[in-house]
Amino acid sequence: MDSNPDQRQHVFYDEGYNDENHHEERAEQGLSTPRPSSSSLSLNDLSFLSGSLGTLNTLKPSTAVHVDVDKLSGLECEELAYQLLASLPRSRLATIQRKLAPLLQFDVVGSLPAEVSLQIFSYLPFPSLLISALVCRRWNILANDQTLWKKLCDERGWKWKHRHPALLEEEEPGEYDRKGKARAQGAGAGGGGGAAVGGANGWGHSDDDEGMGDSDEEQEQEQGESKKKRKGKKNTSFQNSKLRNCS
Amino acid sequence: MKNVGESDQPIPLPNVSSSVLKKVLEYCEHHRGEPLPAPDADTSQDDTRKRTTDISEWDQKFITVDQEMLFEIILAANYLDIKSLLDVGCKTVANMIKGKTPEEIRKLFNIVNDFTPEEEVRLLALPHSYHQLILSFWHHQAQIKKENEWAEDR
Repeated sequence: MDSNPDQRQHVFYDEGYNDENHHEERAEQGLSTPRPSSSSLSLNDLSFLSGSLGTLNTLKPSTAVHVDVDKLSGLECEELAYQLLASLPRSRLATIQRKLAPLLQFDVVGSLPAEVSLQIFSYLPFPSLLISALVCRRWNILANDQTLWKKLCDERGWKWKHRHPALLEEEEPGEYDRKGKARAQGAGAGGGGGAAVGGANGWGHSDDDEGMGDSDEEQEQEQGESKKKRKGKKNTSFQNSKLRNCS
Repeated sequence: MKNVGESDQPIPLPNVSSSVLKKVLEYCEHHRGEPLPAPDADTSQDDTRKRTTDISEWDQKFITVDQEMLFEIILAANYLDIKSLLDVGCKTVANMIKGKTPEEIRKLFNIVNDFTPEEEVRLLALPHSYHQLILSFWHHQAQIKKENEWAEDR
């Protein structure tokens, strides 16, 4: 704190309460040039000055007024803090600003609603998305959102395959076996053009519309439901390839 | 905002502070009369165009604010459904993330690394498996292409 009481004695009082952002900006920029106002306020008039501001009390004990800072409204606190700051020389303000700067940094992405965070991530190329998943738990969940990766695949014209063999841990083994058999049969039947592509390929074309093809946002919640749906679909594709095999 | 303005009903803005609203109005004023983006633009094929994180010069200048203001502008744009402003805000944050290491990102946003050391080891192995996944996607795609060509040739 400055040891010059005279300087603090004249605190310019800015009536522009509605303009509070202006105050912050000026304080942040270290401009200790309060707008000259006709109604300048001395420390005596700051009746709401708190006793907890000990340094002020020691400087000017006769004028100190004890007011509980806790009882002040947010706006009054802000105004008080601003007036104190505005009374400081520029170099001190700059020091304070440097100290305050880290307090103004926060997790913008994690604090936003999830759908907005995902929109932010949707603008990232995949390496940045991978990096983002390593930042913290919240970011990890967001950056691993399947809709983001589906979009990245779509952009490259890659077919989205929900059930990659590497991610099939949750699948019942019996079902998978059946699917494998169907594939083998399809491959055996594969003689005619497009059907061959679907059948011969280990990843089956008929699967492409599954799961992620549904509405992207609901997909997470509906996973259980769509799983059932997929099961149904798989059965038909199984039958189809069987039919193909017969013909 | 234009079509909202047709009605005389006041729009409640409980979550938007006056300084942020001023900023939002400044944006709307500057972009007044510009055609609105198609409502379903984000689901159509122009995803690639949408992904480019180019921001016009004026918007760039407009959005050069502290993190708190940026955060509140994005929130307000989301709440008021001003798509283009939301885009600008989101792209700005994306640009802040791009090309940084996890540690740099943590520093920028004052984020505490809340992974346990074990989790971190596991996670650091993940990009590799992602990489493999992407490679296999690519193989899959190439295979389909080859087979399609083969089918066409016949």
